[in-house]
Amino acid sequence: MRKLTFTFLLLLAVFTSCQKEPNISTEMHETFFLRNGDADMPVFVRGNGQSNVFILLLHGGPGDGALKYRNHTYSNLLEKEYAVVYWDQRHQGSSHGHLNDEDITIDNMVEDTYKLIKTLKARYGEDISLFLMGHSWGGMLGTSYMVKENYQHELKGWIDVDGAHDFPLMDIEITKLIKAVGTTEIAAGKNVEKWTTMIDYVATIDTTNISIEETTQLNQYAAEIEALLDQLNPKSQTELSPLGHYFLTPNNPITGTVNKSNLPDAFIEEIINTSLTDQLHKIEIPCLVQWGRYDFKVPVTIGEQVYEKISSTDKYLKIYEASGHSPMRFEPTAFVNDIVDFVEQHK
Amino acid sequence: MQENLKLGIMKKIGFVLLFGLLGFNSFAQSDFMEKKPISVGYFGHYGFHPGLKIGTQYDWKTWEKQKEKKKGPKVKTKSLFVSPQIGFYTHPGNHTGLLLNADFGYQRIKEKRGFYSAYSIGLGYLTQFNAGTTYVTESNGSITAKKFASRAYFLPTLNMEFGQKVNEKIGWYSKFSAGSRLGYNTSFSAETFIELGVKYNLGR
Repeated sequence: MRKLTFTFLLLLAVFTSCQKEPNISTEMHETFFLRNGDADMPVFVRGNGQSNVFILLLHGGPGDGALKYRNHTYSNLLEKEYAVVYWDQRHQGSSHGHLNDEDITIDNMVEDTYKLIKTLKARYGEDISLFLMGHSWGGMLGTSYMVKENYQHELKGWIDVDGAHDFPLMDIEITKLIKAVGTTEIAAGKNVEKWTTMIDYVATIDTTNISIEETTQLNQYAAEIEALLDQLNPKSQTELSPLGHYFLTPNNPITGTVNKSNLPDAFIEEIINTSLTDQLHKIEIPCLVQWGRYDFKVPVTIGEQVYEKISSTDKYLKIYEASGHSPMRFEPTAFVNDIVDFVEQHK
Repeated sequence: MQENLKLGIMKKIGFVLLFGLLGFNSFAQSDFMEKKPISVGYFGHYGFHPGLKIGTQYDWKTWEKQKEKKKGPKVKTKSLFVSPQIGFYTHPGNHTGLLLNADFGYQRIKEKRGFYSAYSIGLGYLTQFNAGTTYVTESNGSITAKKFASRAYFLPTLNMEFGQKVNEKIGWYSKFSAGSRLGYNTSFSAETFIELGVKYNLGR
């Protein structure tokens, strides 16, 4: 068995010996892994490393996987400017390991984030300019990171993109938004039946005690609404074909789907019950808050609250009027330009 | 960038096939292997993460069934077998898997033209080697860089195989496997494999 393993490792060494690490260029294409306890998490660094700016992306979901954010117009634009770090959080994307349900918690993922930041500095230099960018669930993870101890001071800035830092409040705001926008749409004679169904549904919800089933239904309505609204730009799609995702990326959509569906119930419950509103004042470093006006998953009022309550003196709120939950896909050029403006001021 | 990835994969497949042939030659020297087939073939995780698998087969019980037909007797040879194998595949930029496996199954060969089918249960041990460097943060805050960091998983599979014994010396096979890595994260994974290769009977 030892001989066999040795032979195999020798082969692996032949395969990998010609790959010099790290390779900092304008078109970085690196993979490494972060191991924290029993979790092994892949990290894919793509883009312009010579900028000395690294944007660590906290993907959404939970369970979406980081490479889902690549091969879009916005990511191509952003990677021309900076290095983007696509990281599959534990139990998500292509991450693997031997874990128990108790290992999947927000705090463990915050620690993973911190260790990844330390690793990025060890690998690419202590002088790199590091920004944290969280989208949707990644916004909750990022906010949790930002309010813990002195962790935020490892970063030059925090970019919150439609981030769900307060799940109970988020659900309440969704019901209000559906009523408000739905009433306007019905008055204009648009998709009357669909809006009526949704308004009737939210009227039955006790907003002081929203169930997981109701949360799931609201989330589903949010996705459907994006197809109903004329106000939204067309949503950009990935430039990679489905076969391309299988053949040409380190991603594995099947593994990612299974990982997502197997996320422990206790973890989902933790997310649904998490409210970080009372801790937002702890955030002091420069912040860019980016939000879609017609985000029905995490309404814009949540983003306005972040902007209002953080203690940062250097803070910016950008609301995209033709966007839903993912403004990077509805208004990619404006989205990336705002990030570049923010990064250039604070790197 | 995609072209470079394809070239990289092709180089690696070439090297691995060379290794496979060298390994196959050493098998041929053994008397134990005299009457047992050696299989060598493409081993693809989800079909397209390329690799190679080498194996053999021991029929521990064999019997014949004969039916009389208008055109003459139709003979089928049936057997229960065990098939140990070793293989690997690579998912570029993600990981490389090393699999030690044994299939336990049932095979049926139509003697006239040599077509056969086989159905088996596989019991595998998969070691997953992370691509690139794995960084481990120690309890004192220092960071250790490890090459070839790995984790192992028990991988049971269900397998279907179809092929043909072309003559006494050589045949071909195709195989589909579906299984799961147990203890993968908090539960299990979903895995499929496709194989296509040749079988040699060295001793006859």
